[in-house]
Amino acid sequence: MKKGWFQNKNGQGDTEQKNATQTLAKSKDFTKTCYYNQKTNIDFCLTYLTTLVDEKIIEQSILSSLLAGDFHSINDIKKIMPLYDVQICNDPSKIEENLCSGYVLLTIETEEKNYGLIAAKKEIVRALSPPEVEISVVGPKEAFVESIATNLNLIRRKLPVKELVIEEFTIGRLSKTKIAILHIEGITNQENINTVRQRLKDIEFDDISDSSYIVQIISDNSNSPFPQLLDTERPDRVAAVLAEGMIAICVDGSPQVLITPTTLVNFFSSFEDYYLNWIIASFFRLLRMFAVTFSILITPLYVAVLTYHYEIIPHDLLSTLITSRRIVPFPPILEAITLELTIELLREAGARLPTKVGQTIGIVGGIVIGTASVEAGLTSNILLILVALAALASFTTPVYKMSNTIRLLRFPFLLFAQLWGLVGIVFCVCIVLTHLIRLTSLGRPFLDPFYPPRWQDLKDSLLMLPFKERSMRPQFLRTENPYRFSKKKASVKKDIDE
Amino acid sequence: MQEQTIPDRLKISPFLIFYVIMAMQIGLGALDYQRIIAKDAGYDAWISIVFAGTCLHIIVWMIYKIAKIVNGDIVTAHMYVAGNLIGKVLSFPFIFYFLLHSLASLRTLFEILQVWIFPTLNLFWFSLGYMLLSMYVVFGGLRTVVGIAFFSLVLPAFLVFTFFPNLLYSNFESLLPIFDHSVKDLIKGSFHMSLPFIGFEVVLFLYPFIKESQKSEKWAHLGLLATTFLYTILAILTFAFFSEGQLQKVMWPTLMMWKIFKLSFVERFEFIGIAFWNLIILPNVCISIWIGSRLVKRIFKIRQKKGVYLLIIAQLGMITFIHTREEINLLNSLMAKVGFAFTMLYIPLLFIAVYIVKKVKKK
Amino acid sequence: MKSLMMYLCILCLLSGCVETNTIDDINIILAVGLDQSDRKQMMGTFLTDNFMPDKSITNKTYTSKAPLRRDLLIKANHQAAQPLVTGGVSVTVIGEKLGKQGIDDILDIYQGDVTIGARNFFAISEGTAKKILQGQYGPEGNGTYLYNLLDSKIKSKELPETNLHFLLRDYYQKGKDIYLPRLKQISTNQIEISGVSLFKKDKEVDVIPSGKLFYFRLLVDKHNKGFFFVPKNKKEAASIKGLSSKHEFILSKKKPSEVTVQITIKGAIQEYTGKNLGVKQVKEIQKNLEKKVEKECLQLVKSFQKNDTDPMGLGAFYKSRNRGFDYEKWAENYKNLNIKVVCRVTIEEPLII
Repeated sequence: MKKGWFQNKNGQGDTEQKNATQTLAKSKDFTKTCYYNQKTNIDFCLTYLTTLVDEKIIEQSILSSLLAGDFHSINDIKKIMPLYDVQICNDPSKIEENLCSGYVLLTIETEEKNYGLIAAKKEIVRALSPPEVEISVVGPKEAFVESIATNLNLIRRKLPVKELVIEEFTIGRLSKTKIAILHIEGITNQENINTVRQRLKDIEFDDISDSSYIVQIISDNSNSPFPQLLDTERPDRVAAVLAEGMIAICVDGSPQVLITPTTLVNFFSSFEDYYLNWIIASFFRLLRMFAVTFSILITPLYVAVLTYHYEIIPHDLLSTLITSRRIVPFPPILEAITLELTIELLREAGARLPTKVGQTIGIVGGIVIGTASVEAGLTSNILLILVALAALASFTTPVYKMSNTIRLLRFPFLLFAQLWGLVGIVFCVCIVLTHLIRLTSLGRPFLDPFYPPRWQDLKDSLLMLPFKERSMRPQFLRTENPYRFSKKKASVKKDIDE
Repeated sequence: MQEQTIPDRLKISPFLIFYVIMAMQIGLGALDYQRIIAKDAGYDAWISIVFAGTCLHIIVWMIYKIAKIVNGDIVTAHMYVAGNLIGKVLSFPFIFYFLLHSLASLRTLFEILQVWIFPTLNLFWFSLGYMLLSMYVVFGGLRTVVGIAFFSLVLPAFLVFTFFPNLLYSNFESLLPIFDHSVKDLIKGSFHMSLPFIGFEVVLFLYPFIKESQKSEKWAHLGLLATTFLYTILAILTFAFFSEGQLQKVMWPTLMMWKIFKLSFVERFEFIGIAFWNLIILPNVCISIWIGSRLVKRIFKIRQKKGVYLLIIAQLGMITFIHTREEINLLNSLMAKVGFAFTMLYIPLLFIAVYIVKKVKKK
Repeated sequence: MKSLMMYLCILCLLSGCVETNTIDDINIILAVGLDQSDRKQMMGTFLTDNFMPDKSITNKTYTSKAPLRRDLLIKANHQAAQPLVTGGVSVTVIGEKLGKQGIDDILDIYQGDVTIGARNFFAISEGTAKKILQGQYGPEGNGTYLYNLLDSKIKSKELPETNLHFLLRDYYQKGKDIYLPRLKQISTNQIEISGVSLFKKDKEVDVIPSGKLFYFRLLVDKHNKGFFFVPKNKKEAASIKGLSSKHEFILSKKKPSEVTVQITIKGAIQEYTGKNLGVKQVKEIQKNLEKKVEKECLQLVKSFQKNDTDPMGLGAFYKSRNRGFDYEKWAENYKNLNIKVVCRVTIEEPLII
């Protein structure tokens, strides 16, 4: 059996199982110890992987009860064991799977067929900590951790209703990752759930170590630079979108929960928006939209205008621009690409280095390199300002993966700007637009509510209207119950003297 | 006469027809129609626009009647009237009609780019780029094509407002006296409006792809109304902005009107307008290619994708042969005439034919 | 799909053969001067700005001679280290001689050239245009200086509203003649606006001195605002700030050859040198102003008729009021047209404490 022991799922009986235990026995942490119960005169063995089990449980609960308890056959263990997860099994194919997930195997020499499996998992769980990526000033400060049980607990607590359904299964031939699909019955569209379930079951990758793997595998179009599933570390966000009719996917070992189906605007709304007054939230959203457009377009515009369309520049600005470029020996495109790459380098270096060194690099890079290159006459100071502003603007995007996309998008735009000036920029806009129109998330249009235009969904997109106006669930989700509350009740108007 | 049933997910909502019609109409001829109609009807030409727009509502009504009776597109209508084979033969020329439409739109766009921004623009490579983009759009299906139509109206919509500062530089008295021209001149002007107005006839080809097709009639009329309104307003603004003698010397009045508009960071606005014109032309090309390839599929029973390749290659081949301004003008006037013949003559004929056949079949 | 995008990129890279116009590799012409040098040749002066690294600006002019206007730029380009481009032209100065010979084909070129903006100014020079462009007027460069000079004078309503768009519109309109502001060089670093040149068709026929510009503006600009005016009233003088003024042409229905120009001025007294300013004095100032405006304007109108030029656009006005209007007949009769000027002044009550 060169191919490995995990293939005995098909269950070919004892030989397979022996093989399995033999492979396991090669590991250093494989332990098989035999004991003798003097009371009932029974020999029994415990097999486990020391790295996975909690020795305290074995010492205090399992061994003590097995050695001292009234123990005659395997069937007795449920009576004497003070543990909740005790299984009695006769299917040998399950053995290695359970051993690998932290169970202790109990065998008695007299009983060949039956054996017991006792859970003695060593739980190493990080304590809850405040969110690190989706930071908010107001609102709850807890974030998901790596344990799926904790994460599900966090969500359940926010939605203590029977309609919240959690489906769980395992994927990944090697990693055996537990995955849970969450949705609210009676709200979420069944078709969506079926699609998600099907896509998850179809995953054939061997090692799923994080939810990001799943994002890439089950996306509608994996060749798109745009993320199509939203990942969040905030339980409140998950609870809120579940109530809207979306689906959440929890992956064991990942502190990020996935949300699907999503639209483009979801990636530009920070969940903190919902904790703010609608006017302020709308302002922030518009600001972010502006920042994104600015971040993508400003350097390409600079290149286009300076390379081709000098007529556009107002007279007063002309002298500023020309003086700043006078001693720069490179064409604008080269200048822009160099600076953009420098900023990317700074970001990448800052991200890879430990926090304290990273900050230093940022300051050193930003100030020293910037000033020096302007003084040396390698770049124009105006472009330096623009590039720095564009980089700053790209960080306003609340979702990390989207801000990466935005920074990447700048480069094709720069290329087209160099080719055909403003025409090239619009050409590139057309390409991106087409791509976005074609993009779907779980078969739902990604560009909703802009296209297809849906007035109802616009209320929580670029602007965020007050709660009173948001009586409907997003239309693109095709929810089974489109109303969040009855609008009639909410919109009873009072007269002046009432 | 076996109809291919179109699954619901490929269909578009009825109100999107509004955008399709407007996007298809605005494009060809929209930059210089003011000059052409003023040649005959002078500054009364805005009446011609209103008149032409009104006439077209009747045609739209006919289109919907035809489509409703035969419950399908123009190919179905032809088959309904003339049987399977002749029906297909009759539908065949329309492939060229749409080929011509996209060719004319594209070539006019390139002409503007060449005159205004890039005198050395390489026609072939740029059209190849544009064709690849259109291919990307068309392969996304009708939903994507209509999406581009939608955005090509919504994104550049702000451009309309940039015409209003022109009011400061306009003289509306030059529109006076109203009715200074004979009815014959006015009708001539209306005839010349056919180029900017054609495009609404796509309904006759898209009909099976509209959800609850008959509901879209309202939107088709509204779309036509909106275009008429836009053209009329723009024409009045143009007439007030340019003097009559000057207008005849202006190649593209719509673009020239942007010259006066200025922002503190943009000295010359027409460059932005031209750049956006790319986006405005895109749905013209894409819808044309989509319909053309769909016709190829219906008539020759080959895959639509092959039809797209065919049309794109044909277009690329043809566009490099049109060089001079005269040839472009010839192309546009040919398109105008063919468009006029199709919309104002052929559709009423087809309408009558379908009606008669319906009566006969009932008996 | 991705491969398609890649394909697109590569193809576009291959096709990147568009001529670039990088701003520091071109010479942007800010002002053009056109002169008649001898019978057949024209002389063109092209002014560009040289931006120094210390942010100061120096002027550089290129001069060329050619029989055809289009050749001027090509010839001037031979002298320039970097190509001269016309997209930034903001002022065009026509030499006096050329103005008298006719500027039809120059206007034609400006109408046809899409690279030139519509907001820039045309002016006529006393002496040659070359001399005007070769002065040293301000630290911002001559082109910008001239542009700002004309722009500010139009904004403050010292000059009638004009720019290339208005000029071309009026030029190609039947029944209206053009006029251009005149520039006069006082010394190499001083320049002033000395009046307005009147044109018949494309030839200069008359000059309005700057002293009479106020009345000229009342006649040609539909709306006016913010001017100063000092009427003499025996010993006293008052300065009036015009709040708004407008003119209207009124056709008399009975006699088609009679037209009344009605000027309405609304003003406020800003300064008064007399002792007391009561209702009576205000009335008097009002009357004097009316009389003066009527007299001066009528004089101007008569001189228009004498030169057979129509800067007020009376022909265009007649056309807009009459169906089937015949321009030729109009042009014949213009000299004999009976034009009246009526002025009405309203002066706001002065603040009496």
